[in-house]
Amino acid sequence: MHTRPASSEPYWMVRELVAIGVFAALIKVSSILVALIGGGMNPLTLVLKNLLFTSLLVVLLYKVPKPGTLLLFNVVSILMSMLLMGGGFFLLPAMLLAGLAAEGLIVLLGGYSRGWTVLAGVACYDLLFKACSLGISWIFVREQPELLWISAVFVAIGYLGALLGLPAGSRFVKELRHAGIVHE
Amino acid sequence: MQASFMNRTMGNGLAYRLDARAKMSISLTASLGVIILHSPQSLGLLLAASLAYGLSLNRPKPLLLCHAFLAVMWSVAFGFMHLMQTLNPNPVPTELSRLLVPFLRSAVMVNVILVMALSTRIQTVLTTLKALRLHRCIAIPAAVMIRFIPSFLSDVRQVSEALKTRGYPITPRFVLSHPLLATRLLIVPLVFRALRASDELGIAAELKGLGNLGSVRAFRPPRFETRDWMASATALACIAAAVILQVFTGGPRGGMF
Amino acid sequence: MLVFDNVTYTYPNAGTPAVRDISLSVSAGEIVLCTGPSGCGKSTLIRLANGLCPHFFRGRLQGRTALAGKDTVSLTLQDISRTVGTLFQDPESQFFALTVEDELAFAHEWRGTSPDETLTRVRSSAASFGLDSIMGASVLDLSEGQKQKVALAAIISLDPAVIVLDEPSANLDPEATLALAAELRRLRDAGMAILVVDHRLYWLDGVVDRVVVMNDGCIVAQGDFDLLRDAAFREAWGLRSDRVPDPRTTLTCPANDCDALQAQGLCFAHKDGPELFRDASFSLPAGVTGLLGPNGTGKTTLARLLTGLNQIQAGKLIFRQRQMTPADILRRSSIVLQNTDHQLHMHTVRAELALAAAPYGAESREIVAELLNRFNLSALAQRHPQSLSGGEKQRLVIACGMAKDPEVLILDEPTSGLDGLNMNLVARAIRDAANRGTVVLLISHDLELLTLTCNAALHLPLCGTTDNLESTCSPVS
Repeated sequence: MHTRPASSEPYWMVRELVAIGVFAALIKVSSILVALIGGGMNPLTLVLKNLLFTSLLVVLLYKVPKPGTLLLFNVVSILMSMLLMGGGFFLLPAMLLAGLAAEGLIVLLGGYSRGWTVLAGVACYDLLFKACSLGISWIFVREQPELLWISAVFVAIGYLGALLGLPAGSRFVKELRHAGIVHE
Repeated sequence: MQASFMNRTMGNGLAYRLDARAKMSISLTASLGVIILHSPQSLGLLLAASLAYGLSLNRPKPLLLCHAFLAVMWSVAFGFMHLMQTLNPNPVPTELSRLLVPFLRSAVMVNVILVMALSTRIQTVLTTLKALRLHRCIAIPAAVMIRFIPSFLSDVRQVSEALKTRGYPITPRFVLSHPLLATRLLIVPLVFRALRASDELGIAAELKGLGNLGSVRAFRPPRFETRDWMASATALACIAAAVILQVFTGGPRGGMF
Repeated sequence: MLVFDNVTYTYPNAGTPAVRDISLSVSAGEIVLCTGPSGCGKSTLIRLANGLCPHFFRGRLQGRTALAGKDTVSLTLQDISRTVGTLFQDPESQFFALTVEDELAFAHEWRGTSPDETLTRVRSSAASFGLDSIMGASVLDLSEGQKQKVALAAIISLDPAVIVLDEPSANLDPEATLALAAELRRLRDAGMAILVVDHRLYWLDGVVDRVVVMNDGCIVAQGDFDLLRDAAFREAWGLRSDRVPDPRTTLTCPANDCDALQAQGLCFAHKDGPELFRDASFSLPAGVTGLLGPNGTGKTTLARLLTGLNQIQAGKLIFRQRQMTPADILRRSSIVLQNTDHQLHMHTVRAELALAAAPYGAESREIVAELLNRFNLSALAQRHPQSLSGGEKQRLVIACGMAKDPEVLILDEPTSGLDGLNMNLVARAIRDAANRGTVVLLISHDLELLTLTCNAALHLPLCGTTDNLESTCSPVS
């Protein structure tokens, strides 16, 4: 009987990097889709967009349950925003900060092997990122800071959707197990 | 069925001929500029420059539409703000320049981002990505993301058409009245497709021997031409001029500045 | 070059081996065909050849798989990839780039090959496979045959000594299949060792040097192609036919019929594209009508026009002697598209059928039960649709199409990648629908399916007035 020979492997297997790229594309497309169908600033579509974001992110973190996945996903997403749209430069530090904090939280709570730690990490990431984004928005509207309240309302609605996406993502992972697509 | 924007007929303005890295540097410069600047005059100068840049697309209609949308959004925002002021027992008097500055910032960014979004073909993004010589752990997922955005957009169209033939047309009315069902009908096939695609492409990558490599060596690296250098330098010059104008004219102070 | 020596392999968490005691070799300058019913272990054989088993899928391996004398267990996947190239059933699934040129260059760029060397190899493989004229084209815009060529060219440019092909003819039309056969002969003559796994057999007559038949993880027969000429043998192992007459040369125009779906004066051209239909008139009676024609002549477009997915630019549609809009026709029809994954949305087979039957309200439970029974899906009712095999999914989407008891049923490539048993099941379902009086329009490259099901055929392109209907309907010789 033969076993697989021990060999030094890089931290990221190429199949994991491919999975991150595929899901980054899927999340981007789903966001475009919701905006196209329902409009960008409609409260329902804001909720839906964020719900899809976190639920698909949860699926990705089950598919590639490894420290750094969340961070890498965010870096790639922002890089694409820069390449495709020329925007998002100032979101990069916010994203890195939020990603690092979320990764740290997941590790502290027990790692990627536990489902609820992933959900907590995604919730933490989204909250921190949205808070930092509001901070960046403040820089843009600092002459009239009251305008930030309007952004804050939209961000709050979005975060509600993000929180709803967590159990949705968890449920979806169960369905994927039922379908035999992901395994324990 | 193919993603329509893959075959989008590209225009012949300057914006289409610039290297993506030049356009990125212009975007970054503009982003820095709108943050540093806070006087209406200097931001007005930047707006004029960015508008000229936007018009180099030779597509005034999307530009006009975006600015119209921006104007509506800001009008709504100001309306809410006015309402808040009305409800405030101690209202703070508002200067026009304070209201104008955030709007000008958005308008500058809209122009710059629109140029990038409308003049960039997704095929060239891959070329640009290779030219950046990023580490494989960023470059591979980025390349895969570029590869699959058009595929998924095509899949969305096919899934929507399949649903239409089954009696479930994906219209705004249907989505808003049956959000959960619409989400399941549209998103579930995409997720399964994504998972299968990721497994298959991951296997293909291993079978092509891409498992343990460094960064990529592009065989046709894009070159920075004279026009790219000129465009980037012009952007910097505009920012410099705007900063000088700000020094002379001053402007409203806000927040920590 | 490729040797399987008493190989038994078990996937992780599987109770039984996927393949048992496989002993087989493929030499340089030889083409070997491996065939058998779905689930017989053919795919596992490919994975053993290209090292995915055990390097990627892990699992337990007994025996020895050797490449050029070296045990694959002692090699890394990267090492194996320098010797073995693999062509997938769906070549698009292995594309990394968006243009043909970029795809040919991709692996070389990522392996750190010098730009000059990459350019040389790209040009050489493009010339070899006749791809020079489409180098700038998007890979998503290519025909299936072109995609196949690009994938093969990309593999060959890496200079493998062995090529394994997984159901390469599944998505190809007969002409592209013959072109692929010629390509394989050329590669064999150049000294390559080639292992082909396929359900379709007819195109490999005169191409392969040896045939291996598998069932339930074991080799049950080996020999030359004559092994497959025995009809009883093929039926015993669920194989497709070794010889398939081309029904495209014999199927005639459908006869006109009062209850037919008729088009009169149909005109359509894609934006910035060539005119596909100009004043075209035809009749589709109850029964199965094949929609035939070369790529690009508008087969799928016609299906889309009939159901309103594309707008007719001129002309009218008449069904059962009443003029109708495409939206009217859509209400009375079902379309079963090629990609089954785009048509499955729910968490169980039963729920999927219920979704399709939903317009029937209170009676939908009976409809679902009847469909489960009719399409042999009762045992799978609680399974997730995405966990089904290819043949089961195909039966399910056809069952969903039949849920509304359509008067018109359009099927687009319903049997690509299916083995003989499942192809026959689908053919039976199509004939049953036709026998119930449904107008069935079948778009397919599968010659066996066309032979088993079609009463008539509409040959594209269609351009001409009603007076010329006879001439546009003459069979292709």
